[in-house]
Amino acid sequence: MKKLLFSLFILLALTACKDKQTVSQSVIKIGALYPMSGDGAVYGKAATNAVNIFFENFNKKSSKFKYEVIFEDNQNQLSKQATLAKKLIDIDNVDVIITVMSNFGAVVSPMAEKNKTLHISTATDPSVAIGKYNIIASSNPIGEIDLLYKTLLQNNAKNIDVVLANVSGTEILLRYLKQKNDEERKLNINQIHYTNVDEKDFRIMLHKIKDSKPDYIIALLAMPTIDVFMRQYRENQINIPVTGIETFSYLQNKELAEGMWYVDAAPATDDYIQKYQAKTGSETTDYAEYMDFILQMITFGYEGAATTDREQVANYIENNAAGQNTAVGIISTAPDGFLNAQPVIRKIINGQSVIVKE
Amino acid sequence: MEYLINLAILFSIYSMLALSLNMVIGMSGLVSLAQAAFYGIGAYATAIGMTSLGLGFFTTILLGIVINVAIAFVVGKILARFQYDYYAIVSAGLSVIVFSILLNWKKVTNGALGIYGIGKPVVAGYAFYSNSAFLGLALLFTAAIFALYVWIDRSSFGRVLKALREDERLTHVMGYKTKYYKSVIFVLSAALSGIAGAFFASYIAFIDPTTFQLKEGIFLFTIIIVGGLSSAVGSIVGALILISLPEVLRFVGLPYEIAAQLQQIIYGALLVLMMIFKPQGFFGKFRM
Repeated sequence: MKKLLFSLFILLALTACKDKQTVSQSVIKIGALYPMSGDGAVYGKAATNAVNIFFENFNKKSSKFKYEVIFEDNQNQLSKQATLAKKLIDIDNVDVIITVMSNFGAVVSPMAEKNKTLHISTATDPSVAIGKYNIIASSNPIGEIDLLYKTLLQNNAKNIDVVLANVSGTEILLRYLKQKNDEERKLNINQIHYTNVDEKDFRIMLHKIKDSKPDYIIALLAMPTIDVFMRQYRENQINIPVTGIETFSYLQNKELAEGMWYVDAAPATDDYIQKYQAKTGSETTDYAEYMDFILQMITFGYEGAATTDREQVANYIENNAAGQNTAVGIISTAPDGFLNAQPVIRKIINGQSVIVKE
Repeated sequence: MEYLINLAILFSIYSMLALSLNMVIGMSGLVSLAQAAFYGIGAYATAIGMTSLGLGFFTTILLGIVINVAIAFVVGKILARFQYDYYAIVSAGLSVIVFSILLNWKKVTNGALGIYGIGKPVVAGYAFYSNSAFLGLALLFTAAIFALYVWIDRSSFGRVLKALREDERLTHVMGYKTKYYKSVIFVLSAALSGIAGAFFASYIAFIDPTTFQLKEGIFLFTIIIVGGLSSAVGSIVGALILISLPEVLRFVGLPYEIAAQLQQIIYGALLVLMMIFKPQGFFGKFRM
């Protein structure tokens, strides 16, 4: 037993004391904190594919720096996220950390600021972007809400019911929707229905929605809940149209939403879809596309600023990234460290999700 | 070095939790899965106390203890009616209820969005901003809880708990109010878990309800099984192994496409081997 404990300590101590100076200064180290095992492994897999595809192409160009990506599995746990961020900063000495989702970004954000490490997150919560070194690269949640609101009004909606999963991402979308409605006051939010992530029975909720007679149901649900919701919606013959943000992108059986429109995250370019398909034999996902977007921003920042000074690189990205063409199209910038891809309207036609409005 | 210090902080927090859980499960034989709930309440008391009420870290520890004691007192009365599997199921229910409250009581807990900007402890003008100072403080509390465990273990109160563990009915026949003993140890354990929660909130600076789910209670249960039931040293060793082993595996040098999955397989296999060769855990004095 003593030997085992002693070995554990020695191993940890040795790894912690690795010489940080052995790495050439021209290498930009990027740490990526993703779920790589368990339920979330599919996201980590998409991100690793994106890294391989990105650098296969990038390395063909001449560049000022070399880039290296280190993946760590956060197992979808906040406590792991904090320790791993420290490992990346302290042992791997990374220049940049990439995180996904608001709550995981929130753990890294203050550490990145304290350690002057560039942090780029796909978070939607603006708190994650606070500070000089924190940047959010996302599908512009405010833009998504604006587009949803505008399209609802164009479709003569006056009353809406909102159904949302009780998670941080959808909570932030709801917050933006309320803010938008407080400014414009053109919609009446009848009811807000919270569901658990693993909810399986929406029948009572659907009848309550039916009774409140909204013009639209805004469903902010993800996989696999949206399939269950839409199946029960059809079974109960509810005829109030459903829409949402990215909602039907998660729907496995698209026919359940035939004829319905929704706001979707900025879509991948045709070029990227083909590249991803050719390399992996599978369809691209948000996690791959946004990893490509972030890698492009990092390399754009370092190559453009031509320095390893992280504050200068962060400033360069924030000031010059607008108009850059990425895997998710041309991006724009917003104050407080937001890099935004532009959302679109999609419609389910013949069981396929088709872009109807850029 | 910062990484090791951070791991040590996490180890210290989980040691506090394991010690408090071992008081209930190891010392008293009550299979409680409610620890994550009290851990969460302690964390939220600190988070809300420091960010919304402007309280100091140590005041919020007291706040967490008071809330946990109040809840554990009521729940403990109910739990004291149960034994064995039923105790585990009812205590797991508490974990689920607390998680739901943390997630849905949005005005207080901020729901799924969590709470940001939780501060560090300050004592007489000295702020524990550096991780090494924070670690020192965490270790101090761990040592205090360890000492409390050992003191209870050797006391007449501890002996009654062990008798209760071996045969509750016989202990009752001997004239001891078993429900009282079960309630007291449950309340004490809840209070100590709250302290761990306070340290976790201050350490990580952001909390949301996902950390305090039932699976966290099961992880704590695994720590004390591996380390050894009814052993203070076992609680510490269990926390050390389960916190450091996955980290050690990160340095094995596996290709990153498969590293995470392989690490999980190796981690699982090592735990199985430990249980085959050390079924009572490394320092276990009692086997369930």
